[in-house]
This record gives sequence, C-alpha cells and structure tokens, in this order.
Amino acid sequence: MTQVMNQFQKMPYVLLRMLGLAALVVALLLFGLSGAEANDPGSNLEVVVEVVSDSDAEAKPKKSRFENLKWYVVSPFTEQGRTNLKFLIDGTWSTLLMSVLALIISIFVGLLIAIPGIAKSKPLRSSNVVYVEIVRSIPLLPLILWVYYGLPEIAGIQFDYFWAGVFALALSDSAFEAEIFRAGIQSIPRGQAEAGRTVGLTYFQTMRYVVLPQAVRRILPALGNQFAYMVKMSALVSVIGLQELTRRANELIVTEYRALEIYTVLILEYLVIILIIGQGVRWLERKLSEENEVVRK
Amino acid sequence: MSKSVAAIEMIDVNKWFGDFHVLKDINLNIGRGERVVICGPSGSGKSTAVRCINRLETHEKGTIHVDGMQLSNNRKAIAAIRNEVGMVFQQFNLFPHLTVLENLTLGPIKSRGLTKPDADDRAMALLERVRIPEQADKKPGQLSGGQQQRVAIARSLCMEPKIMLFDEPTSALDPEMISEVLEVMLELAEDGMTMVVVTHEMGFARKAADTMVFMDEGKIVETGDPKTFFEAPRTERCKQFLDQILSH
Repeated sequence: MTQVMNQFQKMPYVLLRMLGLAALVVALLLFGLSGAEANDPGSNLEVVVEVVSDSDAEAKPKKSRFENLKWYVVSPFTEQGRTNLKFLIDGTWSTLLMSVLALIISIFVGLLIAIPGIAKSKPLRSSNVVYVEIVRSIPLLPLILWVYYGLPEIAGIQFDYFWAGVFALALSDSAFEAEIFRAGIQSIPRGQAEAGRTVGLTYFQTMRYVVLPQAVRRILPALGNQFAYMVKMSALVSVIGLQELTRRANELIVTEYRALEIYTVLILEYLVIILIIGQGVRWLERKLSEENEVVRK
Repeated sequence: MSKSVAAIEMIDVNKWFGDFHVLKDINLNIGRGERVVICGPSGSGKSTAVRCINRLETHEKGTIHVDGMQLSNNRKAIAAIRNEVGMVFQQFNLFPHLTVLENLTLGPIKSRGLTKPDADDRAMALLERVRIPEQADKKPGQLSGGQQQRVAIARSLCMEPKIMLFDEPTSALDPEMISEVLEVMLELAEDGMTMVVVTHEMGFARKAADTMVFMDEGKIVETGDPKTFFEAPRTERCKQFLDQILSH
C-alpha cells in the first residue's frame, strides 16, 4: 500500500522534470526569436543602410551583436520562416526512421555477436573479440562513405542514401550493442542459468526466458544511450545526400546565408527528439521495474 | 531399466579446477529411494560432487551413471539425466522476473510441452504441498528466504524428478526459517524420493538419512548409517568434524 502511495508521489516529480525541460526549450526558442519582430526584413535593410552610410561609427552607441541576427528566417510568425521551418522539420522522419531501423538491426546483430562472447569455447570467444575490435575502430564517417561509394564496386549493389545510412549506422553500432549485451548477460548470477538448465531448459531457452529478460532490464539505460547517440550520429549521413535534418539545414543555409539561426533550430530539433527518447526509455525502465517488484498487498 | 540399477553410481570420479584436485577417486552408489546426506568442512568438494551428478560441473576422470544412463558430453544424455534430476541451490536461484507460479511452470511448459492450464494445476498442487499457495502470484523478491527455498523445492518437483539434489539448502537462511524448509524435505523423504543432500543440519541427517557420507579434501573419508556415523565414527578426522559442529 505504501508503495502505491510512493508511485503517486513520484509522478508529479517526473512531470515537473519534463515540464522543466520543456520550459528550457521554449525559453531558448523565445530568446532566439525575440529579435524576429524587430528585425523584420524591412527594418533590417535600414540598419544595413545606416551602418554603411554612417561614416562616424564611434559616435553612435555600439549595436548589440544580437541585433544583427535574422531570426525571421526561422520564425513561425513570418511566412518565410514558416516555410523554412517546415522544410527543416520535414527531415525528422528520415532521421528518426533511419535511427530506429539501424537501432533494431544493431540490437539484433549485437545480440548475435554477444552470445559467442560468453561461450566456453575459445574460438567462439575470439570471433566475438575480432568483430567487436574491428567494427568499433572504424570511424562512422568513412564507413558511411565506404558503404555508399565503395561497396557497390565489390558487392554489385547500390544502396540508396537511406539504406546506406541505415547499414553503416547499424554496423557501426552493433559492436557497441554486442558489448552492452555481453556485460548485461555476464551481470546475471550464474545460478540463474544453472537453475534454468536444471528445470530442463535448453541453452537457448535459458537465454530467452531466464537470462535475457533480466539482462535487458539492466542494460536499458545503456541501450537508451545508444539510441540517443545513434540519432545524433545519423547527422553524418547527410554527407552522402540523404535529406535528413542536418542535410536540410545545410541546404537552407545555402539559400538563406544564416548559419547561426538555422543551426540553432537544427540543434533544438535533435534536443527535442532525444528528450522524447530519454523520457520513453525512463518510462520503459519504470514499467519493467514495477513488473519486477510488484506492489506488496 | 531394471529395478536393480542404482539411482546414482559414481566410480573413481576425479575432477580438477586448474591445478587444484577437487574430487579424488569418488566412489558412491546410491540406490533408488535412498537418502544420502553428505557433510564435511567447506572446500571438501561436497558441492562439486553433487553438481557433477547433473553436469553443472564436468568430471575429468571416472564414470557417473544416473538412472542407468552414463553422463558424457552427449547432449541428449545430459538432457535426459537433467529431466530425472531436480536440484535445490543454496541461493535458491529463483527467477526474479517471474511470479512464483511462473517459476514453477516455466520448465514443464517449455521443456515438457505441458499446456499452461495443466502446468498451473500441477504447480498449484505443489505449492499447496509446500504450504504457500497464497503466494502464487507474487514475485520471489517479496517472499522470505524460507518461502523462497520452498518455492525452489516446488519448482524442482514440478518437473517430476526421480532424484532430488540439495546443495546446502538451508545455509543461506535465517535460523527461524530453517525448520520450515527441513520439514518439507522430511516429508519428501517420507514419500520415498531419492535424495542427495549436502547439509550441516545434523538433526535432519539423523531423522532422514539412510546413509551418511563424510568428505574431506576431495575424498570420501567415511560412509555409514547415521547411527554408527554419529555415535562411533571410525576416522579421527570425522570425529573431529562432528565434535566441532555438534558442540554448540
């Protein structure tokens, strides 16, 4: 009963924390956009003319650097800003879909690589070590380029931007996932697997029903980390031309010439995505741990 | 398999952990329905000997037959033997992410192919038998040590084994919880289960054991029926040990 109460007492705290983060984002945006109205296209032109025409700059009070920012290019209050924002935000889908697919593949591959890593047989363990050491030492950017420009030459298949990105991200991340899984599995006391074997389960059944469910609960924070990391690293796929968030920002800067404003929005986009992922993982963690220690009646 | 085949037969079993010779020429013949209690100082190899019986440890030399089947690296033989042998651990080793009921039914459903209702029925009957049916839907972490160990016993029994191994089943328990576990074990003994029990509970040994085995430094030093074992141990080492644990 008291634990039920605790759950309720904790809830507002979680909400508060989320609200706090949301408020921070909004504050940053408002701080940035505050110049939007003042610096509408017309008045901005005047400023430029003034500065140019005024030969005696020192007589005038110094202008704040912020006043030179042209937030209207990404302001939701101007027509141009709205069009630009829509263009930027439309990359979310590519970024997210690519990251999620890469995550699913890399978790699956990582698990397959982790299992020989805990085997008794030395050759199996070595295969795990070789894979992990090689794959995690390949920098992601060259790997993306290699997959997109290099792989078609030997494999005879040309990935499009999207699948080249997914493939490179998944491959690169799988080594990290493998190590996370290995650590998680090894953290489960050996008696658990032994008990599984003594009630007649096979090795794989023991893994599936006894060891992995417990290991996954423990490695959930690390998996959440990898997911956030993956979303951020997916920005590198912009170099081969996929119109995800970063690529779109770069393209917009080419036409608007405003790096700070657009990159700020870009960073906020990643911030929002990763905040949502973070809360999702925390929610999952709570749900699983509640399941683990059911409330005592 | 004829009745005459021993439940467990260990012949000249030897095992090493690296350079450490844990088991030295272990010979043990356990008949069907026989209750054997193994005692001895820690590090004497008693747990290892028991764990060899269901292949949680491998032996390097000698042969072990369980229910007429020889233990080798043959996976089928190992699986068949594990199907006949239940095991209760010192640390209970219940599955913390499953409910008590699921702990019992996991093995029967996944390895014996029982349907869930059948497995549930069998599990509930066993929970009645160990007197904790009301805990069926709780997680192991919410139970006391004594209750957890009784669940562990029920979990083993749910596989309907012919032989039960107990590896220091009461050593991790608070003193007041030891008796509830021993009671369940005594009932099991009365029902004619073949049992191999590693324990320091000499009261239980006196009541339940057909045969006492005393191990020291990887060897079986003395075997005998409980009466002569406790009253007139033949070896000096065994006498010393009994004096130690019975003195308080």
